Amino acid sequence: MSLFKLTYKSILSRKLTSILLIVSISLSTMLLIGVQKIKSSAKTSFSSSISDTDLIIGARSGEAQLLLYTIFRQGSPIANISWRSVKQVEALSDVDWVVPLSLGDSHKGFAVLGTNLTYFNHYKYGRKRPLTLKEGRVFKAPLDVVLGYDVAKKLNYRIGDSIYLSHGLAKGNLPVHTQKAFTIVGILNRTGTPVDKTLHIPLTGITAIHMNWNQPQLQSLSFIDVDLTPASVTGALVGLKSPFSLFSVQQQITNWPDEPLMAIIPGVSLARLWNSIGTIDTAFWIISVLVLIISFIGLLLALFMSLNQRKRELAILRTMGAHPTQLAIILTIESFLITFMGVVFGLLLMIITGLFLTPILESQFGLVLALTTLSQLEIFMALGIVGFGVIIGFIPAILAYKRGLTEGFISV
Amino acid sequence: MNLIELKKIQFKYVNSQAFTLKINQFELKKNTQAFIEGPSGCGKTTFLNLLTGLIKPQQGNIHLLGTDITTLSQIECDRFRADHFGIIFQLFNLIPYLSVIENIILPCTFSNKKAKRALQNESSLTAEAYRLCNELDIDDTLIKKPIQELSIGQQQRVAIARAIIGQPDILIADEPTSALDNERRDQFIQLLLQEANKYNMNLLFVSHAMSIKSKFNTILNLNELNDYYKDTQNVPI
Repeated sequence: MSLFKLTYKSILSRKLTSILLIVSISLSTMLLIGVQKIKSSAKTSFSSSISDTDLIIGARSGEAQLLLYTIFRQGSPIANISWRSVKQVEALSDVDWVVPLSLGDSHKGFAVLGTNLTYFNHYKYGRKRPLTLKEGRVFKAPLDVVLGYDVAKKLNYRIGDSIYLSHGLAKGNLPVHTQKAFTIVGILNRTGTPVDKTLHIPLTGITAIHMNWNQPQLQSLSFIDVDLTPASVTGALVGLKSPFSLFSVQQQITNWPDEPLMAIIPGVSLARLWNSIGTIDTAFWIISVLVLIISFIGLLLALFMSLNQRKRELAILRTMGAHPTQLAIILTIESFLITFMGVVFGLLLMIITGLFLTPILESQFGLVLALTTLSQLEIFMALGIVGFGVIIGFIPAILAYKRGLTEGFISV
Repeated sequence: MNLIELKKIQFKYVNSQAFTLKINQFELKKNTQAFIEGPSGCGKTTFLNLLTGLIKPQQGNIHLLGTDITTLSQIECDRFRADHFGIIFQLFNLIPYLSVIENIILPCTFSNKKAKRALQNESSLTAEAYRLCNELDIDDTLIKKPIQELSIGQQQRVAIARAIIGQPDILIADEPTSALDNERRDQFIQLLLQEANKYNMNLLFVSHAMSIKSKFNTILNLNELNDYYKDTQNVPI
């Protein structure tokens, strides 16, 4: 009989303790790797919410604030920038394209973004992925609306439905622009970014709903004879012809003579913002490491207890010719088996939980988690936990070795 | 070649002053069935520990079957014990989570020599374990029972089977009958002697039970062996 089989049988004979240990290790493994997964997924989805845009411009306020409302549709702008400035920026020789953004309205808690067709060409997310239509088309008329994936899914909207927009951003009883019914003409594919939670309408549409057109006869009016050019917008995304002019353009905009403007580099600002909120997941991380340490203390305790209970058993093996090293190996195999089973069980538990949790997290928080797969880092972490368990097991193993050397025949 | 040969042995426990074992010269020939007697605390267990190499004397040499075990390394010593000894304790000989058969073949895990010899008798270790069970009157219903459900007498018979598997040169029994009643004790000794004779194994039997002395061909009194004890007894008070 091998030492492995001997150890295995010994673990089986202490079923309850072993199962409790395995459960405690598996739960902490799940926690640790789960937190790691949430952390990395959140970071990925956060930093991939915009790409290929060189600068974001807006009225002078805070860097984080500008980023939050232009990209994450959170908070509200203090001031707008004039349409004239937008046009002037677009005319700069280094500027390739400008996507104007106009925020401030909402529909059932989802943000409404006024923009123009350049948005669909130049807004990129993740690894420079463009927006794509799931069905329908992009907007043409002022009262067309293109929905983000989540908006359509959650509110159960279809192409052709009519909706009203509300003034202001909060949920609840906001004044509704009841005079202007928008028609859904397109629905975008899922991006995992705030775009999914946005309703896109033309800038002209924004102007239209805010013009005081209370006269019912104007409701079905064609807009040709009315000037719907906006006076101002909230901000704009800017793409440059060459990345080398980034800082000079940024400088130019910061020193804009007509009005106080600012320009931020999205990548840099995203990283800064992440660092300021990233401490939360560090806290989570520390907690799960502590939980793991507690389960390992439990393992150590159990190994010490089993060492005392098995004093006699180990002495029998010793007199039968087992070398103290073999006694140490038995205890090391024991801690290996228990942590290994714990980690495997924990990963299985995580994957099973992931199967149930992933759709909920995605629909509720837009957090796309890869709970059902394991990344290389996570496999290394799992192996690390097993390795740590084996190292912990060395402590009682060394003790058993020493006792094996000094203890001889036992007569009870 | 003698079975056991002790020369100028001196042993003292490191953290206790009370006890010293001192044997200048001691020999035991082959084909010995020795009864080792002596009051509690006279050093019977220490003597067995020294013989099996579990502890080493501070001075002197211990020759077993021509090998000086005091010169062996720890691992060699453990291997020597695994190969040449079969040991039966007073109580709780068996590993509770192993089956009867697994307990019997356990020594073969630590000794290739025992495993080889066992395989000379039967085609597999399990078959050899069954054969020994048959010889020792451990029937099939007992074999299937968990260790905890066996009586002490039954456990001791399994312990004999485990000690004699692979036919080691020396059987050591450390007060194996103290938990048995007289009738069971006599049966146990009968069985042990019968097996020792059958496989030509030497037997060292430690006991308090003087009534069974007569069944052994050699009687050793440890107090008489211990020169230190004799010395202190001779000092006039």
